[in-house]
Amino acid sequence: MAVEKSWMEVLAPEKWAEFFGRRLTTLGDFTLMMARVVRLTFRRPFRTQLLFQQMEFIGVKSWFIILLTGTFTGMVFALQTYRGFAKFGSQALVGAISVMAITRELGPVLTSLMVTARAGSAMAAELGTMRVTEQVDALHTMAVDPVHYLLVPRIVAATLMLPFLTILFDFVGTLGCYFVAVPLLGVDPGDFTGRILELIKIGDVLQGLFKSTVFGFLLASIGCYRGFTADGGAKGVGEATVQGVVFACITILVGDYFLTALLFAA
Amino acid sequence: MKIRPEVRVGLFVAVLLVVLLWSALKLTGQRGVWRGGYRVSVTLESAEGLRSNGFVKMAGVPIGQIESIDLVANRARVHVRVREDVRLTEDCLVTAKTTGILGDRYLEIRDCTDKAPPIEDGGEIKRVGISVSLDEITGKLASIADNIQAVTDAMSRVLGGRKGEQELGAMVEDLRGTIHTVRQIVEENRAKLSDSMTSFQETARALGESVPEIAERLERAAADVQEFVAANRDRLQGSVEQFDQLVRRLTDSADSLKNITGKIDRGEGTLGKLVNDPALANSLTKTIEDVQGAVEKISRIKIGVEYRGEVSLAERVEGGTEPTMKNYVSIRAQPRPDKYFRFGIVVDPLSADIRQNRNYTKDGQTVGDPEITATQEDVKFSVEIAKKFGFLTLRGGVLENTGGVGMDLHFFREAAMLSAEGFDFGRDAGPHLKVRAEYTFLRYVTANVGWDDPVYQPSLLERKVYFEEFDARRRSSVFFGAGLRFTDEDIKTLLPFIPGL
Repeated sequence: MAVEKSWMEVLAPEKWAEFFGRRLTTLGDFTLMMARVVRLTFRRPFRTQLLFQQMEFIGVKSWFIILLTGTFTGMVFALQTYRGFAKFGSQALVGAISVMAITRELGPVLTSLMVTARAGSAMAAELGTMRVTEQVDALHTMAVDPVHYLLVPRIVAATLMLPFLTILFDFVGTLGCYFVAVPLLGVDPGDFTGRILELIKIGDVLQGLFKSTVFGFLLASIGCYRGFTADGGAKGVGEATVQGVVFACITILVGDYFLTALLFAA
Repeated sequence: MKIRPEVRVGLFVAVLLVVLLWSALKLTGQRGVWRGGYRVSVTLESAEGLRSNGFVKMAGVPIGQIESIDLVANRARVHVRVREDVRLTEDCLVTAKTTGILGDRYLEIRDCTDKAPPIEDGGEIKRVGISVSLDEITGKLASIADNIQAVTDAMSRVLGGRKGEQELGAMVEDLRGTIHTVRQIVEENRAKLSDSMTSFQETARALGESVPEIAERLERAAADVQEFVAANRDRLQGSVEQFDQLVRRLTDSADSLKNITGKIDRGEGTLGKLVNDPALANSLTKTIEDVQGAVEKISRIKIGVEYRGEVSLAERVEGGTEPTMKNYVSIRAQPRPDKYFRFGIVVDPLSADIRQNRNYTKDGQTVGDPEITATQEDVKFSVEIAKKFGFLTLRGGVLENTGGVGMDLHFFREAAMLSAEGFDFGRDAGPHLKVRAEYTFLRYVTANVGWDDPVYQPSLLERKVYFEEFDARRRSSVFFGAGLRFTDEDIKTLLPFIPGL
């Protein structure tokens, strides 16, 4: 005999409430922790050594991956836009349009995604492991604020380094675009650079750098928070890492839209 | 040796900062960073598409940038910073231009010369060109395209198909032939033309100097004409009456003709029977066709009528001079553009046929006194045939009752003419020569100046006869003249304005 579920059971409002309640709690907890991070950033002791270590890890050591992704993004963009512009004889615009896309959008977003994949995952995994192996508690017992000691350097380092990585991305992306458009596709080099100089304003670059700063803060804070709140042994650490990366990526892409809309309106 | 993380981070950041700074400088061009040069302002109807930091170009070369754009008295005041080494002057022209179809707008400055004073720092460029926006251009292009389509539609209707093609081919062929001929004519006559122009210029200058005198003499000539008409009023009156009688008789004739034709129509009498015969009708049709052909030929002949009065000086018996007037009336028949006949009557009050019997010597001995006969011949006739060669006309025939030749040169589409003629070559006083310049204005009116009879050398006897017969003697003299000239075309256009016709 089949048991008929009532509509109350199907909808399970209490489960929905529980689900949204948990999400809301997490959001509130996250926001409070980030507020603490911001506060603690300007509070002694300044652990510059730790900050520099994180800056080296997040920024300097990401140079190669950014170089590769930037170059190939520029190259593929040159190919794709060339197809379109050649249809109405404006091949010279390939450079300007590619560079505009790179500086305004692709640079900050792809750099942030690459750093999320490389450093964001590392933060979540590292902090998760420290949490489940009770190293975080050990810091507590040593009267060291783990948020101040662990989160602040990472988040500050990511926020500071992302714009520089974006500059690198923009630069190598433009070079990649040039090397495909000019020698391979035969675009006039003078036209190529001329159009870039004519159409690209420094505002385009600065807008991208501002976005990447925001993305740097977001990816580091989400990664760190997810690792910091991990529980349940090695499995929990794995879950925290995956969720941290996925959340950070989604936040970056969704946030990019609103941030662009906001900057567009300004 | 292990490099500390601070150093690596610092190096990394420094390198990328350099990249950022470099690209920032590149992308801003000289904008923002550059603050040299001097400032000028321009007032435009619209600053649409212009932006601060936008380019200001001269001959396509950036020479400055737009600093700011304000609204002053409902117009756009654009402040511009221009490079120190570029000198702008008061006559510079500023236009807002567009780069390409997608491009930005910029200000172009051009037409600066060294002649005008330079514009100082803070000055204003006053000359502003009209800048056409892309919208206006596309709008105009659309209407142009519509027009072109209408034209091509019409053309395809006219020229489409085999017939149109053939006609077009024939037209092109004709045109080619015409162009070839024109070129030939021009080449053949180039030298002549320039010579003639020079000589005509000289003549015109001389003419200009004697205009007041001409005017005075013309006035006098007009008075003479008036006097002549007054003196002959009675005779003219008689002519009119005669004409009246003629018309009355013609009317009578027409009435009897009507009577006769009525009879014919009704088949009465011999003629009436003849008219009703079809054989006669056929032969009549043919005759009419022949007549038509002849009439067509005649109707192609252009008829021209000309009157000219020339006032020259005569010598008085008691010494001194007095003006006399010579009148010319001629009819010109022109069957072809390059050929005409002229029948003329010359009324010359001081013209005489003076004959001296030369046979007064016999065997070396004088037989008797020379016999002199003098007849006043105030009316003389001319019949000439003329042929045109471009701007040159050669004519010959009877001139004033004697054989003569003449030559005319035409300039300015026949508005001006230089003419020389000679006749009466057997005269004792030497051949009668005459040179004349004529200018046609107001389409029908001619003004003339010339020298009549330059080589006239009368004998004492001739002087005596002249003084006895006419109380005056003709002499070699400059003359001034005025005239009227009509063609049959002109008369046709005048006909409707003559009442009673």
